[in-house]
Amino acid sequence: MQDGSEMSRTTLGGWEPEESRAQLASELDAMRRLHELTLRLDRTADLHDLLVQVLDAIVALHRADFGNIQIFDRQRGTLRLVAQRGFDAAFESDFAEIGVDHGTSCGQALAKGERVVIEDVATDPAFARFLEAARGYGFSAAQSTPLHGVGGERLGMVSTYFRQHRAFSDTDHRLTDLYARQASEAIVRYRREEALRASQTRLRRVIETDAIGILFFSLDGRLLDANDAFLRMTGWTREDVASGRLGWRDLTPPEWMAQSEVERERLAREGRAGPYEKEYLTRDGRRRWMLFSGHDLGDGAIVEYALDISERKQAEAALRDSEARFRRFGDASLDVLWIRDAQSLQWEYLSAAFDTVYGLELEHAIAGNGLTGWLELILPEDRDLALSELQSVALGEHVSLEYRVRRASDGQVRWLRDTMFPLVDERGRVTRIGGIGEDVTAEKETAHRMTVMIGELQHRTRNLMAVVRSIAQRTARTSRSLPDFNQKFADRMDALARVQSLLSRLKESDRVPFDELVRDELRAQGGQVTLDGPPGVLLRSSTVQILAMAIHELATNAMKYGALAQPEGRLTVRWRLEPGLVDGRQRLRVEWIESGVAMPPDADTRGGAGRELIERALPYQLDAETSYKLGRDGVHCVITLPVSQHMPRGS
Amino acid sequence: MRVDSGLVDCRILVVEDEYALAEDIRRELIEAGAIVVGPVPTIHKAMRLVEAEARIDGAVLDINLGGEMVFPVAEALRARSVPFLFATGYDSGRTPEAYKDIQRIEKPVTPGEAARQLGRLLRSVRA
Repeated sequence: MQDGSEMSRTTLGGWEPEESRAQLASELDAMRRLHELTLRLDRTADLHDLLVQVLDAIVALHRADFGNIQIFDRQRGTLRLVAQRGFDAAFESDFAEIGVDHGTSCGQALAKGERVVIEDVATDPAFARFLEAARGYGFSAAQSTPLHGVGGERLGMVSTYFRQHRAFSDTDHRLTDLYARQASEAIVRYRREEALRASQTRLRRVIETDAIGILFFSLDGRLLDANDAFLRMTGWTREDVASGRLGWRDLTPPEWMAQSEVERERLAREGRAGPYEKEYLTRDGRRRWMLFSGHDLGDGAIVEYALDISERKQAEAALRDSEARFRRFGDASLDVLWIRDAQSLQWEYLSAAFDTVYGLELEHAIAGNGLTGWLELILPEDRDLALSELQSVALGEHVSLEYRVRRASDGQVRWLRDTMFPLVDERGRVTRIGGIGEDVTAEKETAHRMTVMIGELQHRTRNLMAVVRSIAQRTARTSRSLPDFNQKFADRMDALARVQSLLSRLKESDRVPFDELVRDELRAQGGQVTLDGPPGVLLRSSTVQILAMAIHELATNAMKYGALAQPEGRLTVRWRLEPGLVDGRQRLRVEWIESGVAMPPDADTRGGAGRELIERALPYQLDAETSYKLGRDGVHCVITLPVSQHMPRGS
Repeated sequence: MRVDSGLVDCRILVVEDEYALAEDIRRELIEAGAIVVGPVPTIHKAMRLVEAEARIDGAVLDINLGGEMVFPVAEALRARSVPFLFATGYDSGRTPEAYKDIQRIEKPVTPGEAARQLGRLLRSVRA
């Protein structure tokens, strides 16, 4: 640019009017182009286009042979090539990125933070490394002007190159700076807009989310806008929203109105509301559960985020249902169902039967120490076993255990049969212990009663056999022959069998009435017999057998030799209840009166077995008073014996 | 020549609520040469006898007396060091621990068995 610098220098000399006019025209032209550039930059949306236009404008201004424009990479602290003019593809790759330590004009300008002009690259020592390249491209002068923001921040670099040596006038620099300023402002504006666009894109994407409904309300509660997610959740259409006629009140079921008002008031007062859960109306009138959170945007709008939690609510309701079902199930059981934590051994669940079985209030027990509280109720001698078994269940064993507790409410000892089992998590670890405690006290008592009853049965049977043997011996002693023995023995066995069957029909608390006993024995007899006495005089069970045998002997004798053996004979059996004279206990007085009997001469010697029973066995065994007399026309026998304290039935 | 029953002139208390059985035992004891105290059918009467009798050498006790257990009588006899045996319809499992060592004859008692067992018992005590 030897010529150019010469020319520039000569401007200070002669030719002034001509020179001034030309310079003025050139400056006007530059200003016009600057204006055009400004207008273009305003309309350019793409940073690359924008920078290319700046480059072209400055290349034209400088009437340069080459040019490039770079943008500053804030992260790396380097300049990256955006566009070039006049160079080739090799240049683009060789000078793609330039650092501060780079000797080129732009590297130097970057390092210094101000414009660098190299009028002759051959004489600049810093440029020496690139001299070959410069010759290759054919330029010998260069300038680089940094692009700065208002605050001085580095934005980029615009450089021009000249085949000839080139000198710059102040006007050149001033104009260059004006261009550069325009470029810088455009870059800053572009970056700001880009950031805004990015943030808007981000915001739009946020709003377009599938999961969360976003609603915008006016302060008076009209729905201004809503995202697609909300429309999908509720079935409302964009037209519904756009109509401006929807408000939160239209979307809220009546019973949720009050709570929503409260949240609205809070929003007005504190600028935010929620998160709160409520039901929402869909377009077709169904309801969805939603979680809301809102805040005041400060620009006359309120935003609310809505999360559809219907499924969670359904799951919760199902869980509550299942829980309630389980509790009802547990509480219906007469057994104590329980669950303990396997670590602490504390109760987590107890069914209602706990109250009755342990005699302790369930809430009280759950709240207290579920281990020591429980152990204290167990009888000391069963305590160690109960604890060690419980611990073995915590280690994974199944156990069925019987132990006794002293019921807290009334001090009664209850037998419990507790079936305990480990409850494991998905990894097979015992996290809880479950158990079913059955009150087996009644079962135990029944078992005990059964043992007693079997014992009693044994006692009676063996006694009966002893009685049979005794009757056999006695009958043998008084029999004249074997047929005589057979007859008498069979007879007595029949009587014994009758009374046994009478006794076996009885329930535990029943008693045999005396009249039934007499009728049983005299059933076959007709008009010769008179029975005279109140029905339903109850006999003690222990007296029935021997009394029946005594009546049997009397009847047998009467039929063989007495009133019932002769047509003229009569038998009256009369009985009355008498107050006890000695001990105040009621006694039964029975009279057996035979009459109209022609007494045989040997009457005294007959019926010995009957007499012994009446005169000796009844007093011995029943504490009875008896008399047995042979009158002139028949037997007269009186038996007075204690009877059951129970009142006669029906009296 | 009769074998020594071990009961000759011994005063033997018989407690049995069933008249027929009491009579059987009384009869065989008398045949064995014993003097029978009782028989009585209740605890009450038995206790009165134990208190009243200056000398009792042995006893046959029915365990179940019309639902009452004979053990108070057994206790009173033990206090006087009188040997006795039980006549019972129960299995041995039903007798309390305190009387496990007392000899038992099981009902129905074979005729003569009560006198035989008691005679052996008294001989062993005397020996």
